Amino acid sequence: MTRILVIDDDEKLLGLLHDYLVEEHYVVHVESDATRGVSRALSGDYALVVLDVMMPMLNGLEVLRQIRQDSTLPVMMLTARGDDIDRVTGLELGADDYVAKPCTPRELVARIRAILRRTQIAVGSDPSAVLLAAGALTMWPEQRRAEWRGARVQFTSTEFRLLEILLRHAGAPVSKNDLSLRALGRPHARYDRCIDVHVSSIRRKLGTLADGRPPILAVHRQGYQLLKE
Amino acid sequence: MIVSTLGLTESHRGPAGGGDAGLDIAASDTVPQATPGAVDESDRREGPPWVPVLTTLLASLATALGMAWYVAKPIRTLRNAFDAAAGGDLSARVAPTIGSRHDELADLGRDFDRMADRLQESMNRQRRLLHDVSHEVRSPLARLQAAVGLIRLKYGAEGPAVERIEEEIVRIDSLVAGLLHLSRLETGDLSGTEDEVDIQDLVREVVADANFEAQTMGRSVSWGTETAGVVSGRAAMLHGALENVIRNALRYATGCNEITVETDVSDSGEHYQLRVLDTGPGVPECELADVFTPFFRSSNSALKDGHGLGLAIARRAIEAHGGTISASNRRGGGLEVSITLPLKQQVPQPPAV
Repeated sequence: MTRILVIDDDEKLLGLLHDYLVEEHYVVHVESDATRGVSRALSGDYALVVLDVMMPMLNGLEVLRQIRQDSTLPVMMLTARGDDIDRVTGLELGADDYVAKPCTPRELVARIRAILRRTQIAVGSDPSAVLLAAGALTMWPEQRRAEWRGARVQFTSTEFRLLEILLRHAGAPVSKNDLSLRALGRPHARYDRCIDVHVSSIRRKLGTLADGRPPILAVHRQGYQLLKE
Repeated sequence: MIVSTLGLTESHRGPAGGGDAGLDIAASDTVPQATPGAVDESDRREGPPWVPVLTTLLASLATALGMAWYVAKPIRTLRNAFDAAAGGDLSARVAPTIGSRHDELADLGRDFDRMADRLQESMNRQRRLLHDVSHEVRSPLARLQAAVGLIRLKYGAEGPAVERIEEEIVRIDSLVAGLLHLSRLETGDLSGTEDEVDIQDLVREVVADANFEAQTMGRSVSWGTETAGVVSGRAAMLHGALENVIRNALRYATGCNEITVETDVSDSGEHYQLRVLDTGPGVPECELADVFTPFFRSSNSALKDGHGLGLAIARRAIEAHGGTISASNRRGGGLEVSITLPLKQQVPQPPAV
């Protein structure tokens, strides 16, 4: 069964979320302490972390930063509705997606499923994986492995999925809505910067092409395009 | 006064470049062949009476200029600080530029600094309070929502009462979000960066969305002739502002089935003008100024579902972009909300290839 860790400073809420997720057949552990939260998240026991980044007592963004230093474990942030700063900062720090809190637990579960669905494809799949390549980029989607100019690059699961979609359509633009649907499992909302922030972290990790251009181009009103070189 | 005296001297004595040159010429004119020593002698003897006058005048001019500068400089510093404060920037302080002077102006400057300190402190406190309150409200809301989800899932509770609870949670949450948004707009604490916003695109999107919503109620929202324009600002904020104005018309203009949006560019070419027109009951004249106040409800409108923050948020958002928003009753009945926004450039953006 899939193991999920929920980190939040509201213990009463943790109790309710625990019961709800158990009803949804997940194995759930909850944690209200930041330091213990980080070490448990890094233990390798969990398939996904739900992290409240607005915790006043323990800085949720700092927890996220520490998790990301050592791990690409999928992280779902809980953010305040309307608080763009926390949301963008969290995405920049490598969170996979966010849910505005308060949210219905049904919505939370739907998002968790969307992320897990794409991370768990790799489990038990054919190791003689299909190789995708364009220019300096090579990806082995089944193994969650990506190389840029022959050197391995670490991506979070959402970044990996986005890059894979762009690579499958290399040379042609992919709309933000398509990217959002296929990588996050939800349609792109207007002024939602989620995809933009993820693409900009991918760009940062890849660097530039020989001629100084970024390998992923923003195409006005059409989305993003991976250059074939 | 001083300048005119010098001018007289020059015109009387013949052409000369300036006051001092005029003096030299005067001296050599009087004693053409005398040695330098003799010049001094003759000066002392029969020295023209205006020389000390002129010297005094020049000295007082210099003193006056010095004094004026001495007084005007701190006043200018103060004015800049006041301007900054009025614009919401309370970080400007006067003391560092005043130095060690000890007069009324210096006292005034120090008073300003003290005032700015206290204002800033109370503003920070208010911001923190709002943030804390919203967090405190949202925590129990989140628990409530999780609890309702759980009784649905675990105990199979369904029905209008459960749905009502969920709807009210969403309502309280959006009210808290609206209040936080308004307070951020009021304190100028805006997130995101400014962009070039294609206002034609934006209006088209908002009108299309609103029309879609209106049609489910058998009504419509339409935009007459489209007007192109580019505004510098935050698209999401402008989008929200316009959406709030149109939604307000949809909500309160009872009996009005058609809401129209009109746009044009001001005669000066500097402003984008937008009007949202309905044929509803309008608002009593004495209440027109209040429609942009948070939680205002017109006596003309039946109690509706909105939380009364939409137009207040719209006003702050428009004003944050250097624009204006006002409401008036139309001659034939109905309300007109007019928005003007300063244009960045008038040329429509070419469509992307």
